[in-house]
Amino acid sequence: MEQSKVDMFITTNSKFFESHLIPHIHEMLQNADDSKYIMLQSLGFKDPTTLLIVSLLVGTLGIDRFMLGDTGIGIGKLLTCGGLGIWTIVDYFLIMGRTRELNFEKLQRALL
Amino acid sequence: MNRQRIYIIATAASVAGLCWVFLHLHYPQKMFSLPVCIFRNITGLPCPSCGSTHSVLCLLKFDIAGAVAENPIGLILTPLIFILPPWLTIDFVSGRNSFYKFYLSAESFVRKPWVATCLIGALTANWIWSICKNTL
Repeated sequence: MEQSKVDMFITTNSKFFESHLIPHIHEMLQNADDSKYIMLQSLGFKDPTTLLIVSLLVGTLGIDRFMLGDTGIGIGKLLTCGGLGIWTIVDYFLIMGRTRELNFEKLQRALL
Repeated sequence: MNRQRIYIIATAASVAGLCWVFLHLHYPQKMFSLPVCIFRNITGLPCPSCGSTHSVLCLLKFDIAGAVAENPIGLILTPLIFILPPWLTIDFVSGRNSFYKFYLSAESFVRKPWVATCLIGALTANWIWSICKNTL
């Protein structure tokens, strides 16, 4: 992929990924075919900040986990008052990392 | 979600569940005064699973009607609390993945649109009933 397109993608989407993965993503994009650029633009990554807000507001009901596609964990939170409140608080700290992790997995699948 | 993470979460949840029930059986007055539900503390309304501890305790006394009246979710949680620890132990000892396979198949089943719709409908109806019981 062209250097300008790679730079543009990284600049626009860096907040969706873990910072230590950015060099790796840069390398992956450079090795990717140019035709994948349009598809990458339409991937629709989940915003970690949005997920944190959802987690803070309705994390007890497991909505944050449902949004990420972790349905089993979401049901677990929903049926246990957010894991007796403890799991809800733990998720305040984990949810942003998990969102970035899933965004990276989505990118990897798209580039395969 | 990978296998290791699922097993860690399931082990922590089953141990916490057993301890929670044990503490409620031995120190009911102290335990029931704990404000654990964040949703209830903030909004004043019960969350969908509020009352499930009472329901589990009713089931342990074989009071099924009482358990349903408290919260029907207790009917799902009670078997899980007692089945999960031996199941996970057997998986750890034998090195099998039976719980992980069950989790993945259950998750894909629940994601089917008609199953998800039924579950959401049932949970919403139960929640409305729970709110009515606690406020009216």
